[in-house]
Amino acid sequence: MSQNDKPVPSTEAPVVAPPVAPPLDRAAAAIAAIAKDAKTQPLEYVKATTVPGGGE
Amino acid sequence: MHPRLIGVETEFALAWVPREAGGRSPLPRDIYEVVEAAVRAEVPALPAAVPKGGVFLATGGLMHYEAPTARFSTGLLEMATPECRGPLEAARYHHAQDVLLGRLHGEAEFRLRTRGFEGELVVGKAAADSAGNVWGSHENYEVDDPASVLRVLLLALAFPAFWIPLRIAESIFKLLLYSMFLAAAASYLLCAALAPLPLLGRPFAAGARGILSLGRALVREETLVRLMDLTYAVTLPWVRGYDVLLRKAAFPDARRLLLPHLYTRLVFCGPGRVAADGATVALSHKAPAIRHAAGIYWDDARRPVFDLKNFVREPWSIWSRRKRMQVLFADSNTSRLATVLRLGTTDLVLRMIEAGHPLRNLAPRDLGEAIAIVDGDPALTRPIPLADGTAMTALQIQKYYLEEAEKFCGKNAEPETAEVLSKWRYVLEALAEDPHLLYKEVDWVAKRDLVAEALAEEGGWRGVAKAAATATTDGAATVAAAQKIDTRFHEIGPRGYGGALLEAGRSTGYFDGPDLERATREPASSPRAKARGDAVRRHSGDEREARVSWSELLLKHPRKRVRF
Repeated sequence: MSQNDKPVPSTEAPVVAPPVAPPLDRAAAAIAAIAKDAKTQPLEYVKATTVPGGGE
Repeated sequence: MHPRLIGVETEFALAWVPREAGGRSPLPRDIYEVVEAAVRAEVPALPAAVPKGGVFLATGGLMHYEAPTARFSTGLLEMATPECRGPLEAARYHHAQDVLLGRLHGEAEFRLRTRGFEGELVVGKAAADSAGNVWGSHENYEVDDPASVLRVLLLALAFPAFWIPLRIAESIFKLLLYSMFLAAAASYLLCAALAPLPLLGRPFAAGARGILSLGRALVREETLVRLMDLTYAVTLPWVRGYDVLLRKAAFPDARRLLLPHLYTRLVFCGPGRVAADGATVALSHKAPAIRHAAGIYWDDARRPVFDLKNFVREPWSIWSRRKRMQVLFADSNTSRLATVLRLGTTDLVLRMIEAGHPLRNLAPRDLGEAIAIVDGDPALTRPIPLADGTAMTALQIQKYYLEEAEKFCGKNAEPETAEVLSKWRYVLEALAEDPHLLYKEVDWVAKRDLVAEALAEEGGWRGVAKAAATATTDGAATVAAAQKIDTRFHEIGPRGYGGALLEAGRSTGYFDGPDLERATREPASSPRAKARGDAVRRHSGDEREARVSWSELLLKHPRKRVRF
């Protein structure tokens, strides 16, 4: 191989395929959000949603 | 067109979760006013000319504030569907109410925040709270109930002895109460007018102050509770007597044959509940509150499966062949398919009873025992002892009713019936194989799985049970998180877990969005609902001139009543 045949190093950045996001599991995301919310001030929520009134 | 009118009355809890612990919260009565104003801004509405007030909507349905006089400030929002033709239409109008309330949730929350309340609005569809207060989603079915000569005779003889004295006792009590208030008001005015007189004025001024402080004491909640208790005590003997009479006279055969269906249908329409020990899911919010089969629902300690109270309000209806059967043992569902089945299967069993289709008497040995077994058995395997000495599981009883309904309807069932039969079979077969298969369709299964997944870091159900057994702060927070899931699963609006699962495709929507949307604005198909809904739409900009009741439009100028 002569000197001229050697590949010339490119000055451009190599073309890399963009990272492919894993398929979004909407149900898992919803449950994760629910888990976070359920553990946020649960005692306050339970107390505030007690309704001694009513009457069918 | 489906021959039976069906309606559903659903109660929603109204609450406010303040942003900071100890922050200010509006009372449910104030929240109701804001929600009603938001509804009126969203859809056509007219003031309701009914005792509890509220507004009728363009659907022909009613929304109002539901509270006993003694606890007036802490009541519930009640939404009643219009009279619908058949179970599918009733289920659609029922869930359209959720859609409507969900759509205006943000607006109502915003209005409350502008009044200085910092926090979140809760419109809860669960039929109970974590403290065990219970309400529900009551079903009304128009039932064919021809009376035998003996029953007519019994009614003719005993009716005047109970109902008339009951109403007289109530009226005398109310008259005394109103007279007392009128006398107090007149005395106050007299004293206040004479108080400025020189020399003689001083005792009158003291009298006016005394009357005023007496008035303040009388309107306090505990005084009203005592007055209500007094009314209750005065009328109780007649209520009990009338109750015995009604149980003999109002669809006794239909109630006997339908009852086993109503407590075993929980296997597919139970909303699920975090049981008191925190260890597992129970099937129903309402089940622990049910005490007996039928009667006039007069106090919370004696809730019946069948409420006969409408025969106190409308005594003449006991004489008609087609009567309103009110089922009080009914939970609210977030799953739309569960509501379709709740109403659809009950309608089918009623159709068999009305047509005289032979059905086995599956009466339980003890109703309380049977309800407790079904409610506390998510494995669906415990046998229920029956009055005839045999025992069946809830699934076996349901399968019996399904097979009889399939025989009764034959192969040429019209589409709505065929749909209910097919879904009924589908859920029973799946429940028999593995309830988990129905995590998208059955509320109690969805809730059981959700608690297990959302609290996986805490050990799932076992972790909650362990936490319930300890007295630590962390343990209390874990139990409260499970209870929050129990309640918030049914919440209407952007923070409801059931809605989030539906959006994420983790539960089945059943109805099309546009169909539900139409059912928030257009009247149901029954002639009376349509006439009422049309009247609301026609006069909704003219609230001072028109009001609507279940049966008529009332106009002021010219004064006119138009019956639907």
